[in-house]
Amino acid sequence: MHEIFLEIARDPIGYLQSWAKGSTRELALTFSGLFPLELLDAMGFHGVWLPPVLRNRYNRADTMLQVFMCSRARSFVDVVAGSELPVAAIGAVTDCDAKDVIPGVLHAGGCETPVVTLRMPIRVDTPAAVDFAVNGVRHWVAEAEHAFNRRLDPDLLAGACALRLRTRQRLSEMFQKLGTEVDPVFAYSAAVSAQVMEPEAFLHALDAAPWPKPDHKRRMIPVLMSGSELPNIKIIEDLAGLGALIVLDDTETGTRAASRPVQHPGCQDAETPPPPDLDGLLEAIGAGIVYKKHGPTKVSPAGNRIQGIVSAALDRGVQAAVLGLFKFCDPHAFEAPALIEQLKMAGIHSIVVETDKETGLLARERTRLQTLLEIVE
Amino acid sequence: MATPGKRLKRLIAGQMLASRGLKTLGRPVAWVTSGAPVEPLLALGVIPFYPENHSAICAAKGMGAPLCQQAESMRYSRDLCSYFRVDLGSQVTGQSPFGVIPAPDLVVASNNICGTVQNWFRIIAQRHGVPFLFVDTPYSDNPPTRAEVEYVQTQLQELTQKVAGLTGRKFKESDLVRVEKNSLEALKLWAEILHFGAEKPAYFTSFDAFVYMYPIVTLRGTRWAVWFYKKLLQDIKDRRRHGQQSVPGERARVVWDNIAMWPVHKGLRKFFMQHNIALVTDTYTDAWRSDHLDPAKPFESMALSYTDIILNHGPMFRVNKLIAMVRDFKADGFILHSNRSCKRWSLGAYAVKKMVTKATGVPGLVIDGDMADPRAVSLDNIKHRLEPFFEMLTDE
Ligand code: SF4
Ligand code: SF4
Repeated sequence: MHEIFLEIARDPIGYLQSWAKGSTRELALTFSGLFPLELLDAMGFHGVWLPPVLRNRYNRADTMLQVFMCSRARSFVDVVAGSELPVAAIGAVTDCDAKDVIPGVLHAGGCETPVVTLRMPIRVDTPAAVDFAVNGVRHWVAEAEHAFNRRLDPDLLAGACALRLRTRQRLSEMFQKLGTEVDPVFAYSAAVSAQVMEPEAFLHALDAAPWPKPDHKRRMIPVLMSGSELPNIKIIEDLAGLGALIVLDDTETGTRAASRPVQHPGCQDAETPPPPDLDGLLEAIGAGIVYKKHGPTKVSPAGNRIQGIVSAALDRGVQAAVLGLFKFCDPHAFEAPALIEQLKMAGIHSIVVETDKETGLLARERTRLQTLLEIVE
Repeated sequence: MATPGKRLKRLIAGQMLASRGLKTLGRPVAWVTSGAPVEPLLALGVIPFYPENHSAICAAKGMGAPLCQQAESMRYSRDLCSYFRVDLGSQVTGQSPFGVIPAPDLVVASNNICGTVQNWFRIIAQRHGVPFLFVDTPYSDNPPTRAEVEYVQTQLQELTQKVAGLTGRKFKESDLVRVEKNSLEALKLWAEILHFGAEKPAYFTSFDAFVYMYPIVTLRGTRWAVWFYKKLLQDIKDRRRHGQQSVPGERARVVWDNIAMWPVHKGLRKFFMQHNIALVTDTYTDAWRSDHLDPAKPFESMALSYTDIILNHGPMFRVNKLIAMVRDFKADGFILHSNRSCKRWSLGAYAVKKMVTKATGVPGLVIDGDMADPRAVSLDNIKHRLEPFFEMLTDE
């Protein structure tokens, strides 16, 4: 049952194409873990946070965009512009420069799929930012109802909130046990699958069998995996192959997106959701986007993020860190020197793995990583 | 009589001298982003310094490559904005065409121009161990909503209180109104000056604007900027009276999108002149043409003014802006600088080009470059791209 996760993580497009053939629900996409998929679900869509789809050429995206956009964003544009999936709607969200321009690029490039942007604050440290986020969610719903020509169903929203929250809570539990009780390849495959599968199907598959454990017979080096979104599951497989055991995650794919709360009584029980309280739910969704664990795209009290990563790394006995960066990802490239420095001061050496088009580790990255692991062993 | 260029040099020298002098007398200095709301700072007697503008001048003076390399040696990626890399290199080495730069007592940034500055200016604040104050101006493909303006307004009021508290200076709204009136006057003069590019033949071009924009960026809110632009306006009017057009024998008119290419600025200007092509307007210097400021509503109008700017909007806003520019400035073509340093401004250039051409019927060209890193700009390559484009534009 769990094999499906690895299959999806390796080929999310293939999975969605066959899902679309067998489903009456329409597909709505987003490209960010900030976007609350429950809003799309509550409009009757199957909401999907499309993972990065790395390829050697981005033929369609390259007619609209320059190569100096991260391939996380370029691949999204490529999939949508190439009509590889029957996408009925897109929920965009403001965050980094790359994500901000995607809707405009799609529009200017002649894409006819309706795109509605959720406007979120960059600050996540003030009550005004929370108010702004709440307002942003309400505004998004009004705009989307018009642009998508659908109503957001309050009953569906309560159920979707509960299911999606349950999914994130289960992922958080799993990432707590990363590398100790849960195999990292399994954990990341499951996290990617949660972005793509319908939540009921995902939860069912997740609990269908005990979670695979890491291979404790081999001598492995405990490492931290930090970065934006996981470019591809092959990287995690390659790391495991080289003897790196991920015991701590700091990625949007893993713990960060899973940390988004929705603090509302209507979300606590997926089976018996209480009567819908649309306004309260939208408020809780907006606030949750601010309260979640963020990457370096947000402005929060200076230094807190890096200090938090370093102390968690020390707690988990991390011996080496892998900074998985997309080439041209400014927020993480800005943060990397300080993160590397602080980790070094804590006795943890880092390696930067930069991804553009290729899946998995390049030969020179393997060699560098091997050397690093040998040094710390 | 002094030429505008000489006046500008004296103005910059005077500004730096005054900044250093006032700093030694205890006046606080704030390093700010080019789109930071500077009016409350000036109203509180804080002296602003603009690292982006400083980087542009370093680049124009040929200092870009070694300063970028310095930042790269500190593990900052070569893919990051070259203004940032030049600035960091300058901070670390102490090299600057300005001589000694007054150190900041605080840093004020706003993301209305890009996401880069929130990281860059935080790094400045950390290096100098000073407070980092940030104004979040939500990005949008549409004009700002009421809620967005209110969100920014609240932050501007908080910023003013925080700066007053940090510097121990007393805030008076009448001071803010006075500063805003200065800003507004300078902005209006600047808009009037830029409009001389719309005349056929042009009496002012973007190559001039790229140089003379310095006061509108760094001295906005002061009488110095107003003084400079009044003189410049008079100079241009005099030139027009004497029939001294900007590009003698003007054969074609072109619009520019994005920041100037400082490392090749002079060579590019010469090349345009040789081909009798007038660069009549651009989206870069036009960004300081805003008319939202209203001293009768100082905070609210400031919130709108600093949120509703070109870089805080998506590619479709750029499309519409360029269409209007082609029409209003009677342009025969347009050039999009695909500036690998400035993603916010550049991404989507190919799609933008298609839409503008479709709407206006005039041809466009995308040229690769960088505003400050000479290793990413080749004047020869650019000339090879421009030559056939110019031939097409001037082909009768
Ligand atoms: S955070 Fe980085 S990788 Fe993600 S979309 Fe933005 S620039 Fe791309
Ligand atoms: S990315 Fe662009 S807007 Fe931002 S600081 Fe650099 S040049 Fe300026």
